[in-house]
Amino acid sequence: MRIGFNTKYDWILADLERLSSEITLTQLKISSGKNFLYPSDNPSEIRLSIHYKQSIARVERYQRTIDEGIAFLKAQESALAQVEDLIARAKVLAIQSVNDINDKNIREAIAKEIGSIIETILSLANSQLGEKYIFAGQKTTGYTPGEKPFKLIKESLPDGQIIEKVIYNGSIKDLTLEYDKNMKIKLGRNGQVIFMDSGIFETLIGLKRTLEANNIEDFRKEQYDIQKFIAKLDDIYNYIASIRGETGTKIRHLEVKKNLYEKFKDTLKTNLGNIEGADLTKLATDLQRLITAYDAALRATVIVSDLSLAKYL
Amino acid sequence: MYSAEETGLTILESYFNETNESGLLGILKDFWNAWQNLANYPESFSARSEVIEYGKLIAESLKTKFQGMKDLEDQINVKLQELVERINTLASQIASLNQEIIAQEVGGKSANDLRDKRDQLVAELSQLVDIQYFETKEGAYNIVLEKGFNLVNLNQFWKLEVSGKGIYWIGPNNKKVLITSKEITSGELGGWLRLLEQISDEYNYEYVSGDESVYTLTGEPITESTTFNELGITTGTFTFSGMDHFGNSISGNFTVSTGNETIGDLLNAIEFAFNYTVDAYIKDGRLFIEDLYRGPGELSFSITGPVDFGNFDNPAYQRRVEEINLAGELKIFGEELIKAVNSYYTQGVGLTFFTKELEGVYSVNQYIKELPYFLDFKKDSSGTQLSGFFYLWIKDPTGKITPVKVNLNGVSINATLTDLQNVINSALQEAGFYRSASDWDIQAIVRNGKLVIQAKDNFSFAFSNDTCGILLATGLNVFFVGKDPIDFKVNPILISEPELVSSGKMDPTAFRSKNPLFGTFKSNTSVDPTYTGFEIDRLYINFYNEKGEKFSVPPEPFYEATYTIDVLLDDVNIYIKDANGNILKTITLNSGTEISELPKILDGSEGIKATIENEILKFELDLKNAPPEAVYFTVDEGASGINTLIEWDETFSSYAININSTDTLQEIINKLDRLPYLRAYIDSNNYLILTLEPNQTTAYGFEIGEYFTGTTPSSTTSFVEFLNNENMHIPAFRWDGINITRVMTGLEDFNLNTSYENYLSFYLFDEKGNPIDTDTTTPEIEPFRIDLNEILNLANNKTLFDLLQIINAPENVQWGISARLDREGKLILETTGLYNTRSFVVQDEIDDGSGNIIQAPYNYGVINNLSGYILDRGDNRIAQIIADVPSQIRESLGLTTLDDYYSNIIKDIGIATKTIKENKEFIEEIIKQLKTIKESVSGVSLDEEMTELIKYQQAFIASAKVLTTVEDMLQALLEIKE
Repeated sequence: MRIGFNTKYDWILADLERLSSEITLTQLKISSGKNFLYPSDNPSEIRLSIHYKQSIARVERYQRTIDEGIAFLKAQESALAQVEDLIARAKVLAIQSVNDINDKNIREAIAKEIGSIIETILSLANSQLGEKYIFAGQKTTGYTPGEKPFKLIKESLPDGQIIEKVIYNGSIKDLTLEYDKNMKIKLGRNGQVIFMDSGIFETLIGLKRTLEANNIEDFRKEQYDIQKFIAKLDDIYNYIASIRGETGTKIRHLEVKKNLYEKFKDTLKTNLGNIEGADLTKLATDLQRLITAYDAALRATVIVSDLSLAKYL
Repeated sequence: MYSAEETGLTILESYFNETNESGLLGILKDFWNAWQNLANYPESFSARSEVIEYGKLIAESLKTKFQGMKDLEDQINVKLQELVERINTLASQIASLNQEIIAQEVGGKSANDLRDKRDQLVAELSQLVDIQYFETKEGAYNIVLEKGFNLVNLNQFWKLEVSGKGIYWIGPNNKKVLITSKEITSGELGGWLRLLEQISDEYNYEYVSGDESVYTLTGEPITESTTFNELGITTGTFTFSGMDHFGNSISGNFTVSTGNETIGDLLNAIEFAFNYTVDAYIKDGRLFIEDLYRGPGELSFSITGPVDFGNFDNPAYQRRVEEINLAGELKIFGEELIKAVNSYYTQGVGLTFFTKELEGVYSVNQYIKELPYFLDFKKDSSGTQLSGFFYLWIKDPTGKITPVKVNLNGVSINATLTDLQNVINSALQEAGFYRSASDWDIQAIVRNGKLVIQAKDNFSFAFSNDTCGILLATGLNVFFVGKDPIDFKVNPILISEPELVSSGKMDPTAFRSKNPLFGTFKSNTSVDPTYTGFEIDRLYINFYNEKGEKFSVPPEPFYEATYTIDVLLDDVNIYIKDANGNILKTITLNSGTEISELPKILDGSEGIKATIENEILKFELDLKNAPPEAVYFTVDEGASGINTLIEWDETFSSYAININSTDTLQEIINKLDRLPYLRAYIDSNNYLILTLEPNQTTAYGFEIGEYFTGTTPSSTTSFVEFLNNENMHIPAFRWDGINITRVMTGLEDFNLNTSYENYLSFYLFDEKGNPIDTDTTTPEIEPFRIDLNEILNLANNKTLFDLLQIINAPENVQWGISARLDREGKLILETTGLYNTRSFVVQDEIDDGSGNIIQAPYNYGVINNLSGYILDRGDNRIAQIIADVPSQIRESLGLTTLDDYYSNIIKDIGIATKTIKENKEFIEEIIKQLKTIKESVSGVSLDEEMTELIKYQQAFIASAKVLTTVEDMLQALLEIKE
């Protein structure tokens, strides 16, 4: 076939440009570690890759939320465990006071210890995680200075009696957390439900008052009253235990969910890597091949361009 | 053509390249993460700042990308302008050459040079635009564009013109016909046109236009400011009709009465008739009706009247859209992102309420129809009136928060923004926060076409539960300002006051009153403890549990009696009973038993325990040893000599206290104080106090009754009237031996006027914030409503405890609300989690006298006086729902999520670019092959030329050799002759 002068050089140029372009592209893939650099490189894979990235982002978001939730619930569970221990101790003291009904000093000491148990439970009810009160429902912050979710107030009566009671300034709305699409969990119960509805403060204050009243006149009545408090303390213990159990169950639920998310995320990342990640070994081999071909093409160009009858004239 | 498209699409691809982490998706991911962080820490100031920063980043990023597209569009327009000018120049030159060639060849000469020149111009023209041309018998070239548009005919030529974003072919009488990529499918012009139609959002909007231009009497094309007088028209009526984008029929008319009306007035009337879904304008003297909604639609229009705008059905003067282009899809994504965030955000509240004033971001000239998202408003079944409401929450200087329901039912779709302002002010007036235009605490005004809510000093406000869509449309309480992704930003108010960033909502999932519904009762004035004179025989005390249920059996079964004897003078029988009053066991204390021995005899082992304290004998039920079903006991003293002090009265199911006629007030109070759960005393200032025992967990309220033995009950003869007189509004009744009379319900402190119909209304909402209608037979959303007059009417013998019972009644369980009291007597209302109710707003309402139920003033009613709405910082509902936006299915995106929609766009851009690249490579390969074939025929081959050179060289040498030889031969011949 008759090869025009321009044709020969046009073909050489086209091939050199093609090889050069392929070398550049391969080099970019190696340096980025990705199979594609632009959407037009592989549109359908891009779509999948975006989908995987979005899913990973969503899973990571839920994981962070679950971590926050677990931390919060664990703080609650720990505080409630201590409350349970204190109730058990109060019950032991109450039983002891029934048995040592004639010893005024012992009963005074017991009353004092009950007082300290009340203070400790109050302090536990006002526990914080960071700046958030964990038993205040949705009113986690925003208290005026000196104010807390639970407060012990004292009132004097005309007969000289001091009435103590605990009031709750927190919220009765529970905190919720969304750990999956359209799936929410309550982050524990609010202080009204846990402490106020259980009657824990009323019972302990009532027990302390009974012991302080020291009704030696009718010690049988006092025994009877204390027995009633012991029965109530049993109920309160069971109540707190059941809430603590519920909290524990939620912690386990979230931990299982967290593990599932971790595995799911690994799968998504693997799939993403399969689509997006460049096979560096193959690319390195391709690059070498292209460089060799380019080098050969350049050499051939030099050789061929030197071939001409004009040289021999 | 493909080069042009490839250039543009490659630039577009680089703007939306999501293969690396710096793409828009990465920024969006951070934005949603910031909202999730705010949902996890709704009380956090720094979480709010983070949301704002990422919001700004999103706005800047989208703006940059769309600005980039706009710049590309502008550059393409410049390119098109250049191409059109070049085409016009070439056409002009070809026409001129045609004339010269004809003139030259008339005389039989050949005009080869001119022809060569003309061929060059035609070759260049064919690169720019696809043409067909043929030579006439005169030797001229006639050139037409695709689809038959003339370009050159002999010595005549037609021009193309760029006007706005369109290219027009200028026909006879200067008529302009739009040229699109359908008319020019190839060439450089075709390529750039196709690219422009893919990246310009303008091409996504259909329009229809009249095919006649209209001129004034002076020959100028009309504009929007042209008056009808200038057209020689002083009176007349235009009638128009058509269909909007959605296929809704529209019609209207416009009357010219003086001639001073302008074309612009006519255009306004047309836009109004279309509910502002179109833009009517004049261009080059022609009337255009352009859709404001993207994509294929049903737009049509016709008009008759004193001016002939032509026919609006001519396809040559319309733009129809087959599918939305890439630019449109990207814009839709941006618009939906803004709308999705804002539509939830408007319902929320931050760490504080708004103070001073809040201006809506969207403005109108007059009508609410002009507001963006007007078509999304909830309307009634006829479609002519709005439906729904929203809540405005007002915080007064004392810190009390009151919800004000702004009812939009019945507002016409043709209402003005001023009408809306008046509706809001009416609602505020009902609630008592607006008295007049000069006397208000909170008011709405319209300023510069925007709705503004204003608050006086120390008042503040917030919003929630917009079931109509008005907050989003007016732009009140939005996160992003602006609708267009090319030009939107984070609301500047939030940037300067991040504490206003909404994370929660005001409609509560549970409500606890600030003031007790049943609290401590203290006498108004000091009392005389020594007073005697009450004509009563007995007092009855009923105790109620936390749900307002009366104890039908004694919560603490006991009996007290006084005695003046040492031994029983008669048998005493103690009957241990079950809940139904059946006797389970009888214990008899025989006559002659010593009183002092009773504690030993009744030690609890038989189920009854006796104690003596301060000469008062007390029996108590010992549940451990009593029969299993025992819940209480009664005592028949007979003539034993013991006198009942306190016992359980089976008739009234109450504790009953025997009162002697000589008992002083102090003695009566002392007797009351003996009851469990009740504390009664006169304080050091002689004020009477009645309250529940603080450290008990059984009774949450009580009621007092008396057995009145006198003739006329008054505050001096009746104990309950005495309490009433002292404003100690404990639920109370009187028994006269025959009838029971209700004296107090317990609601007397709540400022309720029984000449009104008084209601307590619960507006209920589901998980998504949609209102729950408790009566679907009426067109309006009906709340769960309780008629308080049922309780207030003393003849019905009900108390405030009945209010709790009504809320908790089995027939009302379906509304998902429960009521109880806490230990301080505060009212707690909670969602039960059953059925659909997830939040609610409870309000006092009254009948306005015309049968309409309206909200009560802020200081009137039960809930308004109990107070209790608070801003809980831990409420994260709004932040959470916004964090979920990317994965929510959206109808406006074709039932896909924002995430999926965007990834599909990226894929489409990739496919478009790849297709163009592949097509271009294919065409280039074809061209290369064709060039090779052409070169092989007409191209210079160096080897061939060199060979020819050698051949001619050899031939020359040979010829020269022959000449030399012949010369030598001749010379030899000459030498021989000599």
